[in-house]
Amino acid sequence: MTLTLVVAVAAALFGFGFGALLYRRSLVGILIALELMVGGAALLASGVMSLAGAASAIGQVIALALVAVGAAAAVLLLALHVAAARAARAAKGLEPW
Amino acid sequence: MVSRWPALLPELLLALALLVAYGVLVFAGERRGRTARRAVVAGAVLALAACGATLGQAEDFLFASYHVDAFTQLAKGVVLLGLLAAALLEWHDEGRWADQRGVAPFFLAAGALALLVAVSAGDLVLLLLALEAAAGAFVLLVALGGRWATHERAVRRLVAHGAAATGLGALGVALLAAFAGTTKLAELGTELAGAAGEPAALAGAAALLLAVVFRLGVVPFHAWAPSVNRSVESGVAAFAATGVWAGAAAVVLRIAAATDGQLAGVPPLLMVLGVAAMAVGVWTAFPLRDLRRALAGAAALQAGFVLAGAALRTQAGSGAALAGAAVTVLAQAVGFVAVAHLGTPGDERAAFHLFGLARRAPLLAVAFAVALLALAGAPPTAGFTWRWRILAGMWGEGYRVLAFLAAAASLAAVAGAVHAAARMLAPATVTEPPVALGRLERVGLAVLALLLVVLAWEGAPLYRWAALGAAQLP
Repeated sequence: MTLTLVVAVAAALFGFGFGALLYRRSLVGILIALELMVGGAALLASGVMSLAGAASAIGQVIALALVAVGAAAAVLLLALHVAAARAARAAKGLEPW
Repeated sequence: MVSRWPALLPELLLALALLVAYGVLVFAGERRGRTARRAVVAGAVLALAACGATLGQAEDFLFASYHVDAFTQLAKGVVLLGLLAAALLEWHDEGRWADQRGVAPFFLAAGALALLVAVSAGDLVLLLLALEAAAGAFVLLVALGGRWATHERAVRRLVAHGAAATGLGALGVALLAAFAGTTKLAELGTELAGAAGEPAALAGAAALLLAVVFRLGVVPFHAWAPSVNRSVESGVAAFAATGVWAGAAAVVLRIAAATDGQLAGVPPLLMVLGVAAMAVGVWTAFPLRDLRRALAGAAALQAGFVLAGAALRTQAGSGAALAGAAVTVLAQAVGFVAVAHLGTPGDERAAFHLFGLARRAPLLAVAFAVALLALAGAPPTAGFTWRWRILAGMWGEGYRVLAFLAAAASLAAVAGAVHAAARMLAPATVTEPPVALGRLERVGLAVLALLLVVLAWEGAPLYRWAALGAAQLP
């Protein structure tokens, strides 16, 4: 039951993230979608491997690595977002979100 | 014990060059961009030599999380060739690029170093981290490699596709590790035996493969490549089509070899993806209005054949795909030298500058025509030799309809290459500016064009090395 719940929540997170990625085109929207997807994958790795009783440490390592990937992506996308905002302001256009 | 470490020389030398480039950027004065470029080019040349010197070594490091063998060293050599081409082309762009501080060579080397690690990664977690590091460096290069107002759409498209690929990669690693109970690539083949019939395990392998093929500009992540090629400077676009492309091709070959033994759905998936990539590649390249777009299409076409080679599950198929990656890098390097001389990014008339090129710059015209024919797979160029092996393998393995479609895509590409060559021979309709080639460019173009013809010979050492490398795959 618990395992099913973890898989369902992870799948929902990943699905919402993927859907948001298809729907949103702004950099912040893409970032949120990416974080949802990576979070779903991290939950799947750590949850399933702990609850299935097989090599739970590997699941935790994968989750940690995915947290690092998510953090790096956040830094990169926010930097690009700031650059886009500056460029839009310089061109007297709308803010890019 | 000490004798193991020379196997890591290519990575160490490039890392050293990266450190020097960083130091130059931080401390040097006005000439820092040029000095950083020199450091990166020197590092790439030395690392390339180290790949050749360590081709025969087979070593494991960090509890088999990092693996070095003939396959990885050859693939690293191809990635480094791409870095070299991109760094030299970026030199050509000097003065036109918005980034005058010279951070581009640093990110080129950083991306290439991450790709070297990805090619040798023996662990899925390390592989994912290395691929993401390479993608991060590449996104920054693209963002820096043009004026934001004109190439914002390309950056957004690349970021959106890259985010989807990152999510899929994470899902793939999580699913594969959950079913196999290990993240070691070498153990995946045996550990997945119990999950052979599980659709979720196949979905994990498919997600991971899709995450990697994003770098090849292949369906479903094909839309970013033409946009990026069209809007960024030649050096960055060349890096995407050579270094990044070759690294991703090698990683696909390794993942496919590790998983297709137990997951029967992987080879058909790769084959269908490959043929779809060929179709999209030809579709993207035609009509020949934009040379940069055409080169992006050519990259997708080559990627399709590499995926088909990976799907064959034979040493001959993997070897041909690896040799094809090397040939593709050489041909794309020539293509981007030509494109750099025939128009700036976003120049809608670049393809029309081809008219009369044979009279204005005969060497450039001959080299570009040979490169286009090699990318299309026309005999007697190297592009035909490796492609023919894959087509023969597809036919032999029973993928006859797909082999027919692949041959049709190649024929269409050959027609396009011949059309482009005819344009070069035709007189120019308007007065075109002269093309001034530097001495290094002249020598480089002549050598590359010669190689693209000589490598059509089946007995060339490249095919022996590629066969040796393919034999090392799991």
